[in-house]
Amino acid sequence: MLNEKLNLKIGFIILLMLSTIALCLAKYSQSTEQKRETEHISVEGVCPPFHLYDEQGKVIDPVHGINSDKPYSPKQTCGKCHDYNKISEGFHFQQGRGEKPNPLTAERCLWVTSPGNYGGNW
Amino acid sequence: MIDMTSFDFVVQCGSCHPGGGPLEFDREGYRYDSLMSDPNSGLISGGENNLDGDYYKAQWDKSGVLEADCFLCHMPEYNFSARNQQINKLNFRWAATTGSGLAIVTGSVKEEKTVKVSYDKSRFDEDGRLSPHIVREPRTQTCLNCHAKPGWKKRGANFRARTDVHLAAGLMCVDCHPAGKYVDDERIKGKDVHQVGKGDDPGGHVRDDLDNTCRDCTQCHEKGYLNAPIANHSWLPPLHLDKIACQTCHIPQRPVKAALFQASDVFNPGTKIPEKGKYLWVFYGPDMKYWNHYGELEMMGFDDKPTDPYRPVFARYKEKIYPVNQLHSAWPGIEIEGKNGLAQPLMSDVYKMWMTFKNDITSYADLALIKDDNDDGVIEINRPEEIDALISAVTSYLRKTGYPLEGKRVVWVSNDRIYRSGKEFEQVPTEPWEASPYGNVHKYTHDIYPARAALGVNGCGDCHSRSSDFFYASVVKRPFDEKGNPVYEPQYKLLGLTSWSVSLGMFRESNLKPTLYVLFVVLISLFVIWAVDRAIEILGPPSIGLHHRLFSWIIGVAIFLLFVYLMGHRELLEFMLPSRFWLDSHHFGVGAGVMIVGTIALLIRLKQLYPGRRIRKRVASCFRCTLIAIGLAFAALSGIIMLMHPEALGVITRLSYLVFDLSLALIVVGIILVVFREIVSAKVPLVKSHHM
Repeated sequence: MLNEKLNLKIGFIILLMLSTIALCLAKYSQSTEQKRETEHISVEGVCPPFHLYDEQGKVIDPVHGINSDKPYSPKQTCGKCHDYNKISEGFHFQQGRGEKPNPLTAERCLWVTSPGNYGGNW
Repeated sequence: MIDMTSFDFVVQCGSCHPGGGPLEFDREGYRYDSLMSDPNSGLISGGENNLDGDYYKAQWDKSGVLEADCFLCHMPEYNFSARNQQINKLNFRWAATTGSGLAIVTGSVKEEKTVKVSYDKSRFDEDGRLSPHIVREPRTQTCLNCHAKPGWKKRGANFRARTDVHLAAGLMCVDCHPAGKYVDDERIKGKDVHQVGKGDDPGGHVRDDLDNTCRDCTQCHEKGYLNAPIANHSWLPPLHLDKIACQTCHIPQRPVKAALFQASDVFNPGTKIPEKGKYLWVFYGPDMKYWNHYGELEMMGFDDKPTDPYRPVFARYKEKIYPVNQLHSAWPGIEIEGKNGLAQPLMSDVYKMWMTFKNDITSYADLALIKDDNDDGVIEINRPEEIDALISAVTSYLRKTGYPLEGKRVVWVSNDRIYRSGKEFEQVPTEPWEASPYGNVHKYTHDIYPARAALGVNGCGDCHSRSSDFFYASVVKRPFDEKGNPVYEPQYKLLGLTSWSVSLGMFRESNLKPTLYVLFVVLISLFVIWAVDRAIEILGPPSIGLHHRLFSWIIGVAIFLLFVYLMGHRELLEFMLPSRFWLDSHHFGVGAGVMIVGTIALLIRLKQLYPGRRIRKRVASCFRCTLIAIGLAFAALSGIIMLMHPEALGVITRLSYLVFDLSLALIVVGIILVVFREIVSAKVPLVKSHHM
């Protein structure tokens, strides 16, 4: 009888401990999920509120009258989070700059220096 | 003398350029404004700067540069007009600020008025930060801000839901032209990678290594991306899809005009042409009539361009047939001794030459020889004396301006002919898809028509018939003959086909197949007669008279006459019988059916003939059997060739299509003769005998 009571108590304590552990794990994973979700949001395609920056990289804050006579610089502003150099490698930006003209076009059109609008309109 | 400089490029071209690249850095990689502002650079603001094209008369230190402007694409409310006004004022570094709508910018570098910025504080939060409306995928209108106008002139692109099924379905440009980390093609995939998926235009060579990175038709219409309907071409012999691009059948017509011919040699008399230089570009539309494109653009604007439907030209590009606009061209060139290819005088010089002549006809008097030979109100160069007149006038003008002509000569270029004089020309090679080595060729890929309007929707005759534009349309070969009229050639020549090969296909679809279908009706009629005879024999009265035989014939002939009647009533024909499209699209089944019935008829007939003789002798002794046997043999052989369509067999593969249908016709004729023989030789007694 005594042993039975002891076993019951031990079993109850073990159960309690397991429940506590399970609860803690659940809360941890939930908070981790939430944290991950937050990171996901800030990294995956949603821009947080941001300051403007001028060409020298200085903050423009019109609300507090800081540097507010300067035009903003997309490079310094968006470039804080995005790879400006990689973005502007795109052919929409380069428009043929640095590219050699197509060999046949170059042979036919002596004035062409690139395949694009920049230096190449034929 | 200096051509367009980098600084000029920003002013003249910056309105359709998102910034960055050559609008930010010189060809050595230095930022323009930083270098010019550096006293050690030796550069003088506004100076000639050793005729360095990046710094000649540039004021980068004052104007700043145009950085890549993210909001230009990613902010739907971006103000292009405000941005472009800043560019015109040489306020490059302020353009992004005003375009984004975040501030008002006053002043002008060009007019030497201090440039000032005044931000709209309401756009910022209490911490001075922004949360603007930014989108990952630019809207279609954003793309059209730059691509609409150039898309019209030589591409005839409308980019509107009214004329394009994809836009009507709600798709955006970026659905087919994606960029970034969510794209499929590894060549352009990646975070912050802004290589926009592109097609493959014959005349475009920017980043050829990225050709066909856009989503093509099959990616959506075979896989169902964005719930696209799956294309079902089960009715079409697969050979077609190997040789013909999707666009060819699905752009049977262009809704708005594109320039077919650009003459850069005479003065454009049109009204409302907005800029001086554009008076040197005279356009002709697909009908080879003068077209005041710039005047229309100025008066109507891009959004209200008129509808001018026309049939596109087809050409082979990289071994597939596409609908294209092959631009024809005429212009003054400069030949340089020892060099292949041509240079060209500045268009502004040719413009000034014409303006001088217009103001004083004794200056460059030769130009008076150039006449309007075709009475369309516009002069054109098409006769030897006119060619000589232009060459002489341009040479004279260049000499007066001090252009160094040693080792050079002015020529006149018309498509692939380089004229050194009115009577002497050299022909230069062109690619199969080009009208001129100096004229753009644009593949049509936008403004797709609905599937029900595609070529082939009415059957094979849409293309394989005498009235078909696919092979027999007249396409312009040369803009003008000596009378100022276009010179045409048939479309099939441009596709590299011969008249006889096209005629074979036409004969097969327009003559042979209809004959085959009529033979089916004859066969059915005869079969009905035979069947009625048998029914009368089995179910009829004990005594069967001639009137009973006549009854079956009346029914059979009535069926045939009904068919003849239906031929004159198309809607009724299509309601009552399988359509031509159905018959063509089930040609395999029809052919197999004919062969099976032919085999059965042959076997039945052979069993009736001389039972003791060998099969071969039985066949040889019976004309009908011979017909059917030969038909079956050739149908089987040509059918196998069609299925395998070996390119190595070339002409034989092409002929097999005709041979197959001829064989089917032969089999049907043989079956008709067998059935007819059964009908006339049936010994139906006048009185049935009843055995006790």
